[in-house]
Amino acid sequence: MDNKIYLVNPRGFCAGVSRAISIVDTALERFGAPVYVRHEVVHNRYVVDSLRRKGAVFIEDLAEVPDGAILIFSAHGVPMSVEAEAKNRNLTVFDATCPLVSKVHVEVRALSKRGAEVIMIGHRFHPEVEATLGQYDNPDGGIYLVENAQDADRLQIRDPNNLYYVTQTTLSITESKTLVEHLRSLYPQIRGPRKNDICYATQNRQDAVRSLAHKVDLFIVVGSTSSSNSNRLRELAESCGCRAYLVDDESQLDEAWFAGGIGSIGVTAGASAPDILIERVVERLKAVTGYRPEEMPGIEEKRNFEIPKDLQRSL
Amino acid sequence: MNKLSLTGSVNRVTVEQSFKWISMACLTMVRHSRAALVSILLYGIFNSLLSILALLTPFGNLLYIFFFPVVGSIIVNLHAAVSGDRLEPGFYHGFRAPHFVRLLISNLWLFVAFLLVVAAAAMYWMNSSLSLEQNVEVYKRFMELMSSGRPVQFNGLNDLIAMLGVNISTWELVDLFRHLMAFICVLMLVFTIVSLYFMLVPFFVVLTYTEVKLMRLNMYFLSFRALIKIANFLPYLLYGSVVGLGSLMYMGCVGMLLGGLPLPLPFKVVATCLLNAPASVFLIHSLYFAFIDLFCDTAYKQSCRNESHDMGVMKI
Repeated sequence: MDNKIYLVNPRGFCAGVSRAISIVDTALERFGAPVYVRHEVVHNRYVVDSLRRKGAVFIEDLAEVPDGAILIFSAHGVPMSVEAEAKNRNLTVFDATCPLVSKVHVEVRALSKRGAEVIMIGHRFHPEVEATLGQYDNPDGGIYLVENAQDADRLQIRDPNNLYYVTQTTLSITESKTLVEHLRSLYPQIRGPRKNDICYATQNRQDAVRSLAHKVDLFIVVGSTSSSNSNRLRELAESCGCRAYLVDDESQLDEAWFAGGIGSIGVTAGASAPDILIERVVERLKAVTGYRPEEMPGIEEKRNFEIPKDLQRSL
Repeated sequence: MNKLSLTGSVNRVTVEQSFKWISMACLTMVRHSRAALVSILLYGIFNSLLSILALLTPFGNLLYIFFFPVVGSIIVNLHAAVSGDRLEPGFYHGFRAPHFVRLLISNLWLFVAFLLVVAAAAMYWMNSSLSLEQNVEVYKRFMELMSSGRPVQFNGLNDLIAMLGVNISTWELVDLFRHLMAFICVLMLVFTIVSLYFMLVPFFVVLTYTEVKLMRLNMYFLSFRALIKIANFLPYLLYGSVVGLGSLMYMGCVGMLLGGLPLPLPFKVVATCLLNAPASVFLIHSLYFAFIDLFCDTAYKQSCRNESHDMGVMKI
């Protein structure tokens, strides 16, 4: 059998990321530079650098934003305190939070209102997790971050009968399932969201990698190290027995990886990686290995999120 | 089997006679005014309670439109039972039963009829391309989303679907809304028809008896009498519907005005009660007393007296 470069489908941008980038782009077009963005709008170096060149200023603290400026919340969302601060300062805010993240925020807000205790399954310091934790403000309840089974074992829940869990949208499906099962063994009454919080894009990309893993020796995942879903894709490929590397772009490909008669290669990309980077990586792989690229069949993603009406009207 | 007779002398009902009925109706209305005022007061309190409900719950207005007519009518009738007034029009004239039984039947009719209309419309509502479970799920999640306390911004249907966390296409969501709109339209249509009918009932009554007296056609009279019987039960539904719709619109205006003001909730509640309770109900309620209950009933009784006097043998 000929060795090939298999291009996994779906891969690359998800609807939430496309929308977030469009919001920043449109805001720059409409209001001109500078436009302030709280946190990297999406976790991709190439995207962030290109927006920065156009005039976007990425900040972590709202104190860095001058009065009267345009502020955009990143796709990962922000805690309520940040929203309130922006409102108090009368900043013009455009919210690029992915609606699928907003769904989790809404769940947490509803649980906070009810005073239920919530376990958030996710990665510490990830902005999405911080934003979700920041949706809870009821002192009668509590929200606890759990990264692994050890964290879960250490929890001290006040009322296990009024306990819920939510998850980060970009987790590994397998790992989160294992952790939820562990939580269920500790707290049988724990309740979760009616629909999995892990987003469709994460799920589709992970399913596609899993289905191709048996055909390839090596996986190249295009994405930044800060990108949670890209890291999960690399880990998943490794757990399926393939060697896997996470690269930002073609310059990070190491020819040594392909030495010694490697078999077929799988290429996928995290939800924040643009097509142009994938194309460049594939071109480089073709040049290094001499393999022919082949698109794999996969789920067609038709979802599309609109940019805010205020920005649409200004176009 | 009913016996019909075409014997008897022709009795012309003149315009003066009609005016006489109207003046009798006015007199009866004055006699009943104290009871009417008490009833209005009760109704006002009830209206205020519903206003508060509408303010405090996310779908209060929906509750308002569904429960106002039914509960409102029951309250009016309960008051009638307590005060000794007989509010039911002529439908129960020949029906000898304790007042509370008639009251019960009156409200059962109303309740069943209302439920049938709502159920039929609801069946259509739920008959979208989604299954019943999916439909219920979407609405349930929508309620949760709206009541979460987090300000949510939808920039399109895909946003909404994502935030609802449901596995449906935009087309299915549109179809669902289409059926919801159809459901609302069906309800509105029913309310409109019954409201129009409500307004026409007094004229029906007058016209019916006038024509009967003039033409002496008992079969004709029979059919109209049947119509009047139906008409006598319908006013409850119609009245409730009109009050419900009118109050809803009024409530909507008050709600919009007050809801937008940066005022504490208790103030809004009190203001809504003050604005909503007396004004919206008073006129409609008075109209009900004047036109449906008193006028029709009086006219009917007068007509029956004339019939028994002039037509003698006519019994159905």
